[in-house]
Amino acid sequence: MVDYILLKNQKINIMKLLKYTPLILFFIVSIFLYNKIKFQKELEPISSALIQKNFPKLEMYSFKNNQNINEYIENRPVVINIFASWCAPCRIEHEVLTNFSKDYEIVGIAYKDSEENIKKFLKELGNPYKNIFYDFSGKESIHLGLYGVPETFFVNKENKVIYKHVGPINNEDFQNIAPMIFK
Amino acid sequence: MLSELAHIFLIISFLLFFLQLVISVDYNTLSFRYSLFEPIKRLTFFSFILIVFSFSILILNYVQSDFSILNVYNNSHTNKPLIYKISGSWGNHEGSLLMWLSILSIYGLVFLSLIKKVPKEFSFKVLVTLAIVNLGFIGFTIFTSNPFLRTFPVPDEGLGLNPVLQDPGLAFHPPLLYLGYVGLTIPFSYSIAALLQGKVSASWAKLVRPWILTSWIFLTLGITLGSWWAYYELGWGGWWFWDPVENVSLLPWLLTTALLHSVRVTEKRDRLKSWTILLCILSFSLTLLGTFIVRSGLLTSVHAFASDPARGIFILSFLVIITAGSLLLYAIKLDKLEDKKNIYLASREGGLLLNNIFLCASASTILLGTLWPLIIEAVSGNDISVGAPYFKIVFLPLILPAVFLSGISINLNWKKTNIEHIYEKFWKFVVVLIFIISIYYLIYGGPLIIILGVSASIWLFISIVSDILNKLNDKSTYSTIKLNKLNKIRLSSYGMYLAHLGVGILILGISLSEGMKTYYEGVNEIKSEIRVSDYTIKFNNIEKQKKENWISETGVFLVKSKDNAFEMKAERRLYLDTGMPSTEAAIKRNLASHLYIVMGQEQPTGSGYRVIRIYYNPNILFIWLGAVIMALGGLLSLLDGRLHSLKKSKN
Amino acid sequence: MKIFIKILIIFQLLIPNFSLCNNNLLQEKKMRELAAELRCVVCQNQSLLESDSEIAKDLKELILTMYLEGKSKDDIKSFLVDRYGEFILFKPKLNKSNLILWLAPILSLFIIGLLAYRNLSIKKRRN
Repeated sequence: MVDYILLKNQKINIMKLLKYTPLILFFIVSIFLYNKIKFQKELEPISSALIQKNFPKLEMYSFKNNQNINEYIENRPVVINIFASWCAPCRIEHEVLTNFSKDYEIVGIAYKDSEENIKKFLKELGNPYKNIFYDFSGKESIHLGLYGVPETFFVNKENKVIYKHVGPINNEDFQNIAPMIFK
Repeated sequence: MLSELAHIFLIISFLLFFLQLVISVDYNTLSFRYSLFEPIKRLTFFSFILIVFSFSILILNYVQSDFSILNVYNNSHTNKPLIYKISGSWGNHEGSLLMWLSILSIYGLVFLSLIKKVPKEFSFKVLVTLAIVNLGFIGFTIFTSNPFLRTFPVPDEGLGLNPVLQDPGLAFHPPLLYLGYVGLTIPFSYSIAALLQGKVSASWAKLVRPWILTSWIFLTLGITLGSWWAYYELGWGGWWFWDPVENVSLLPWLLTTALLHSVRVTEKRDRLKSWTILLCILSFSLTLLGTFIVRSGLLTSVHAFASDPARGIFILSFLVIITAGSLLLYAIKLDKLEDKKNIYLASREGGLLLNNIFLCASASTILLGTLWPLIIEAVSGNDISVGAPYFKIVFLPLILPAVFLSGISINLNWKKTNIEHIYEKFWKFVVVLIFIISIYYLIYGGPLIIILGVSASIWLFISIVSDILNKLNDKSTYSTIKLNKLNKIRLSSYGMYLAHLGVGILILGISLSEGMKTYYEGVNEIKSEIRVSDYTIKFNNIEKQKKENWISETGVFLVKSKDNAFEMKAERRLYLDTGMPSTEAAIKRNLASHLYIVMGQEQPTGSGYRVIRIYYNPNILFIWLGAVIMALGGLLSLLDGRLHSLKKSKN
Repeated sequence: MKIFIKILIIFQLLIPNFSLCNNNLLQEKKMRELAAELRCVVCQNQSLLESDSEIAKDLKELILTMYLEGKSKDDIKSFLVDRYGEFILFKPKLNKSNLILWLAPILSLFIIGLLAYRNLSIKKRRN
């Protein structure tokens, strides 16, 4: 008899809860919306799939002494900037790179470009790069998850990708991010 | 000077609505001060008028190209044709918000003009609800999105408008859509008022239905126009991309469709009251959610306005207060509403209920899919995306049963139907249909979507004809059809038939065009030939042109088919004032099908080779035709109500 | 008999060319199918197939190459996801965390149906 009454009360309670279902579901949704709005970084580029992973093996070589890029960056913290002479935003960010070239080792990847054009480009705007590696076809850069140029990778001594910046980088961002490669 | 006045108008209306809320309710006893009905009516009227004036002044600023107003400077240009100057006023965040408010005011004014038909205590509560909603939107405008900010020194020329928005389709798309969204505020207010009264009646349903119908018609037209415009203007070859903002406009439409059917049940059979109330609340909430998502930059989309987290927080708070408040009220008052009357599955109300369940399930699925990236990001920090392939897979299995059910429900009577009678009529059709489908499949082995879609449309067509024949039948002898009974069928029934006919045509268009479309993409040089479907297309040459505010390259294509030869021109334009490109696809119509050519960039640069995309979309026009017919059906139903009440008042 | 065998051998030599031509078209078709399921990383609401952008073209070429090398659809998807993240997939993966998403239609029907059944007195047949 007691069991029956208990069961009946449970049933009534479930019924009572049911009418609050829309309200409860809505609260859950609003929490997610609030969370996104609060921690939303302004139109931030999509986080790279390579963060915290090793910098991939690339078939890119420098003209200086035909050195492979992975060999070169081994055991040193570097800032790797993918650029091209035909890319307008690259011109804009070049100044930023030049500013920081004394304090940080900046390495360039020339994307779908020729040595001649790169030389002209650097002659005109200055050369912040300690070394430049070439990806003539653009296919190797796909291993970096490239969207377009310019992009800048921040890699630490252990060869791990700390951060990827899509689009031209400004002084402020460079200043904030670059020190992380020394950690 | 005038603009400062417009701004002050907004502030005054805000204060007036606030005042209204203060005096309407005795907060000690939580009772309404009905004695203040007349003055509150006047306050409301005055506020609505002020808002409409305010918006008119904004439009005037655009027409006069007054660049001292920051909003006009950001979004207009003296070279724009007049119609685009005007439509530019709502082609941005602040202006469109003011348009939202104006449309709300117009709806409010219409409500005020019809207020005598509604019991006084009820309309009092409606006015209180409207005041709360208005307070939120006006507050949002004056605190975060003031369209009347000045800029100094006054620029000579504006920054121009996105060329993509300079199109007649897009000039009308926001107003139509807003007329739909904003219109849902009235059913929402009616629901809140009914909940506060603690009573929902069939006469309440009768009063609210025309408002729901009106919103539904505008939503249908607005979404259709948007889809048509995207197809015509964007050059992507598609008409629906399951983009978050598109989804967020589809959600209120789905729920309003469900609501339309549910309120009919309440009107005719005094049932599904709690369901109707809940749908009124949810459809309005989804409208607010949509506004939030579009204006806060929360989700990646082609529709993004300039995003601003401060605005996001404001709308979110408003959304939460309104929705949580209404749902709480709903939960509290729920028990008082439902009479627990029986609903028989084998009846029109049963069929409509089942149909509603599928419509609501499809809406909740799309909502989940749209918000899923947000949820996953919050829970695990991953960035994933949910796109068209997902939505297509989950939406179809939910909407097809709904269509199937609507076919049956058309033939069911209210209260109860002799289910055996229905079985008898329909099993013959079902067998024939399955037979035809099997033969088709054996011969063509065609895509599933055609089979499903065509069957669904035929099913609807048969159902409609069957019900008409049934009504025309002489009850004594089932063989004679009395054509003179045609005018005995009510206009609202014709409206219903027409609307469902529209659905059938829409589905036919979708399944045929998706199932039978052909697509070519490649990099071509001049004088090369491409074959698509029955057409031979020769990429003949490129014409270059320069006008005052744009330069263009037009690809000229010579097209030959079996019995026809013609020229098609696909253009790529670059607007000089904004530096933004736009493509104009070349579209050639053949009956209801389209040959669609887009010319892309030079690939690689300087080579003379161009990216060419060609689509052949058979029977695609049925999609938009079907949607417009749906809206027409709704209009007929709406007219029936008006004519009926006119007749009544004459007698 | 010998002549017959010779003819057969010559015929065999011809066939691989024929199948290679067909194979190219087939792989292109597979590439298009996959490209429609992938998001263009630059113009974010277009599929890779529809997109005009530079990187989209490179990726499509890469996918075709991988198909011609005999890689499977899943191989190629994993390859791209490793480099671009799951964001590139239009269709979310079918894994534990996305299970609710894929079950959403059935779950919605069930929950809404249940709510309707509990709150309304639905009867099957009139007595």
